[in-house]
Amino acid sequence: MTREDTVIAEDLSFGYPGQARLFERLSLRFAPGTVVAVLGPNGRGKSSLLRLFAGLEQPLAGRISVAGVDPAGPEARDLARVAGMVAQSSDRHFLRTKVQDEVALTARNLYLPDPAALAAQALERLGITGLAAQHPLDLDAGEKRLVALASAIAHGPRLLLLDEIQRGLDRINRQKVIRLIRAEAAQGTTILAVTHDRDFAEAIAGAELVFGDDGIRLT
Amino acid sequence: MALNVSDLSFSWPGKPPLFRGLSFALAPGERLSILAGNGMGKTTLARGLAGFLTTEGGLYWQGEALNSMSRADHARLVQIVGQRPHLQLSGRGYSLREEVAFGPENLGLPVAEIRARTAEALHFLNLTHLAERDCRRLSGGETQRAALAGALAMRPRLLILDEPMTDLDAESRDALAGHLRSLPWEMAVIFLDIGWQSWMAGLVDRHLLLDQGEMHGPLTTEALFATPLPERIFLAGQPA
Repeated sequence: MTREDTVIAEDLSFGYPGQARLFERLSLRFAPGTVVAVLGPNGRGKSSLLRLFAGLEQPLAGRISVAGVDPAGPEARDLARVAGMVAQSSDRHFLRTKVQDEVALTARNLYLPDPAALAAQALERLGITGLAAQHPLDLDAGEKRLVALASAIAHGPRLLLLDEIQRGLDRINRQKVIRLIRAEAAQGTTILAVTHDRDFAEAIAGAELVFGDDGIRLT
Repeated sequence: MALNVSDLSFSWPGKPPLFRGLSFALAPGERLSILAGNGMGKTTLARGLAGFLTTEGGLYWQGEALNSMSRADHARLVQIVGQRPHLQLSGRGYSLREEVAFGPENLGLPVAEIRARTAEALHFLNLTHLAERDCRRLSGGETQRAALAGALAMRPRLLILDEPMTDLDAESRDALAGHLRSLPWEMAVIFLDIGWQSWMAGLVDRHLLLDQGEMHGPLTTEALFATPLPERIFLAGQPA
């Protein structure tokens, strides 16, 4: 099982009602520890692809497996165990009044042993232990993003989905994120990062998935 | 000078000042950047400069205090596009075209003028092909472009952009930068960002640095690259 590709998409088709399909018969396989930058113009389906892997959209056709779990399957808990996501407006998803509880939330919902320790570890890895007792909505934009990232990794997902994670991060915070992505990949986490920032893509990714005029291409 | 900022200070209740004693002036049509790291008050300053916050100090447009203007005059003068573009859409239009027309309609302009401004703003943001799209069906980057189009359709004389280009694809970014250089009306622009970005080349000539509540500069782009910068401020194109 551990040697199997973390992400498998076979013949995936997707589009929104009344609009042209964003992609058809897309097949992808990503091994553990692969970091893929997802690039391309606005509106081509980059975020939608992440949402499909996160089980937030249903494919029109085709099959997805995330560490053996079908995101479109009936048990959200199974997917939550193997995937973590930081969406474009990540700070709209905060649910708790303290950073430490927010970061521990997924682990707690999954009944993992010692969620508080997992949260502390995630905060430590991003160098934001000092924020643990604060309210997530009292933080600045950069700190909020780091808290959202800590929340996505604390339970140890096999797939990390990042949508414009570098957006608006200053130099120090950006370096923290780059270091964390590299460390996660070294531990075998597969990472898909949608970005418009070429320098950031080059700093993190070993592969690029480009949504171009002539279709979707992996390089 | 068009905009005069004199001794502007602001603090949230019970907190130390986010910025203090900021003074600078902006010529008509001038484009300026204010660069600051996360947590330095960039977004708050954007709102302050737009006249949306109760700040200490003076904020004058051609001698008139922004806080003494009528709302209509204020809206005609200054537009701001922030980091949460989905919150800036009125939601009143069934299509992107109607959304962009919302501002000009509220100015009570003649229909032909509303149509012309809407078409122009959609064109500036590369959105003409999406004009009939339901705004709820726009992608993140397209939503940011929609908010920018809505602001430009107002033909403001001062545009304040808080990290305006972050979700734009390269094509839309370059198109917008080009249009901002040759607008059919005179508009000053203040760009707030985490650092110098490559699209600023040829578009923004002067840069202010905001760090720990103090303003430094203005610096030319050459000086910006030659000056030791606060640790958090970023120059795109330099190694991460």
